[in-house]
Amino acid sequence: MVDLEVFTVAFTNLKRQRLRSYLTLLGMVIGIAAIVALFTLSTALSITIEEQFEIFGLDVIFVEPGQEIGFSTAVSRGIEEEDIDIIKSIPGVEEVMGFYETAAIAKYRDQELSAFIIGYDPNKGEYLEQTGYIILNRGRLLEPNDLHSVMISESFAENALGNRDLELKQKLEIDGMEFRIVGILEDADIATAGFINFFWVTKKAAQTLFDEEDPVELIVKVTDEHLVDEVSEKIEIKLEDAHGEKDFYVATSETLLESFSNVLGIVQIVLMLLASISVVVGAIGIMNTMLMAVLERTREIGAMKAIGATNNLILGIFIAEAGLLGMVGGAIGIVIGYLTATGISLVAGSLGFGLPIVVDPFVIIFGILVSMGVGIISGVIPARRAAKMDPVEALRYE
Amino acid sequence: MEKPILEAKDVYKIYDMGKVKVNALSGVSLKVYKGNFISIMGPSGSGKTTLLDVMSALLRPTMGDVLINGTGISTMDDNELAKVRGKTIGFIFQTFNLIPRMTALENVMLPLWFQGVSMADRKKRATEILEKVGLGERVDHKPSELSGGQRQRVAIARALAVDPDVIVADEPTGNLDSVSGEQILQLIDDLNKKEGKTVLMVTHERSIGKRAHEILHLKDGKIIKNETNGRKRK
Repeated sequence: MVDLEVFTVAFTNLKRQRLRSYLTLLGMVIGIAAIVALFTLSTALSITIEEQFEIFGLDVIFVEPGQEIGFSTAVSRGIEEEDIDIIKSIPGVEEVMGFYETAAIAKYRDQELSAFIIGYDPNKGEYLEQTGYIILNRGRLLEPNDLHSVMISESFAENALGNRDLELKQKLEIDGMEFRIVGILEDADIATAGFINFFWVTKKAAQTLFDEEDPVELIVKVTDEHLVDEVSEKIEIKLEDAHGEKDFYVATSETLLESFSNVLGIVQIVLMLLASISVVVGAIGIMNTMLMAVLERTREIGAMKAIGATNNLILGIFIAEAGLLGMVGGAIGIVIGYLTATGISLVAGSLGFGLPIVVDPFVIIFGILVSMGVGIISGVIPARRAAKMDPVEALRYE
Repeated sequence: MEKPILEAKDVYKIYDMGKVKVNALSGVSLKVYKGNFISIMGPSGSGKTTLLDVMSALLRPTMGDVLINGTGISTMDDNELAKVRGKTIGFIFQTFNLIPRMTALENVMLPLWFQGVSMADRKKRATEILEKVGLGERVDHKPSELSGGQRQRVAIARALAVDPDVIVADEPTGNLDSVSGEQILQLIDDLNKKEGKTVLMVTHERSIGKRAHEILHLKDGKIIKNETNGRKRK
């Protein structure tokens, strides 16, 4: 039977050697804090990513060149202009939007910048607005007849040229051709992935001025989100038929989210393992302190046994002490972990990237149980040594 | 006929030191009755402390047995031994052996905890005993805040906490000045005379040993002389 009062005695022992206790806890605190911070931040990241995909909507399908998500290159060119009509003929498809993309050099007065050109069909601009790809800040969206017109992002307008702001109606040179700014867009994280040097032009401009005949990627909107999987399969079959090989891949919001989550999951596990090293160091620290304590208190242990303490009780006192050390370390670590995560989230927020920190009771309970468990395990060897001491030898110990 | 509280029956304690075997006790028999005050004297290495350890159930004999209230200790396991020891015997050590992180009160409460006494009763009993040994004002002091004599009085209070039949003292004044030492010896005397506690005390000073009813002289692990010191043995 375990006498729970061992915790009271253990707590008194720790409290009255405060400095040593805190120093012992350091490894545990750092380890648990790192784990909690990493877990919280990566959870926040996946929440943010999920929210972004929710903006896309579940009724869209992405068709990209290459064999696999994330391995597309400019060289593998798997999508052709004709594919738009092929996909459009599939039942359940509401609209197909092509993106004609290329790299270029933009020039404003004497300043040169690398730029990324995206051409789209202005007739389908409303879909891009619905999916949150483009949100107009001021000016107007491109129109079908625009050729030498361009839309830029707000942060590019403000930041790209140092202290000189770009404004509507100003003129830019792109690959030696003159373009006029007709619209300035809100910064949309999804479309630009944090880059700001994006120049939106019409499909006609991309095809005639930049020689981008074929779209680089397609976004397919289906009439009903339940049709997404069925339509994706049909797109795969039909395009493979038309191309004679599978030089493209089809992804839905769901599959994209899945592959993001998988990558994030792996990163999470690797980071957690690294942080666990600190917990192991913390465990060794606790074991060391407990071994020292047992040695130091040899005569006390002898005296306690003489006046009636059983071996089991001595074992209990030392294990409780180690367990409490671990638990207190874990608790402090959890607090510091959340504070760290909140700090990082605030910094990220000020840079325009939202990371919502959620305090998860499961993390708190699990963190405390794990750290207490680690403490108890670290305490077993020292506690057994204490429990097995011969009272006579312990009392005469110098 | 009255049964002895403690009885050693032809006790041997042999330490195996590799090549040589040391007989700390070789065939000691002793009966201790309630109310006895016995001093154990002898040169160092004579086995007097070993005899005390065996009689107080800290040590199991190699051969023979020690009976506590009629029950042999050689067949008890460590935990049983601890329970019997905690209930029957109060220890007073030369070096006090108080727990330095605990207050006087907490130290005295400790053996009561081992006997399963409730928290409230522990506090009450420990406070009473500390008052009795003259430390009512110092219950919240830690050992480091007390003088040597005061520490030994806390240790005596701790030994008395569970109201044991036997008090075992190993050189109780060895670390004290003569004034404090005299006070401690007086306290032990009173426990024997006024409360009828059985006392077993190891000492190497004849003047201290003479306070007992009976002085056992040990040499080479054997009782060589048994002085009754002018008092009648039961």
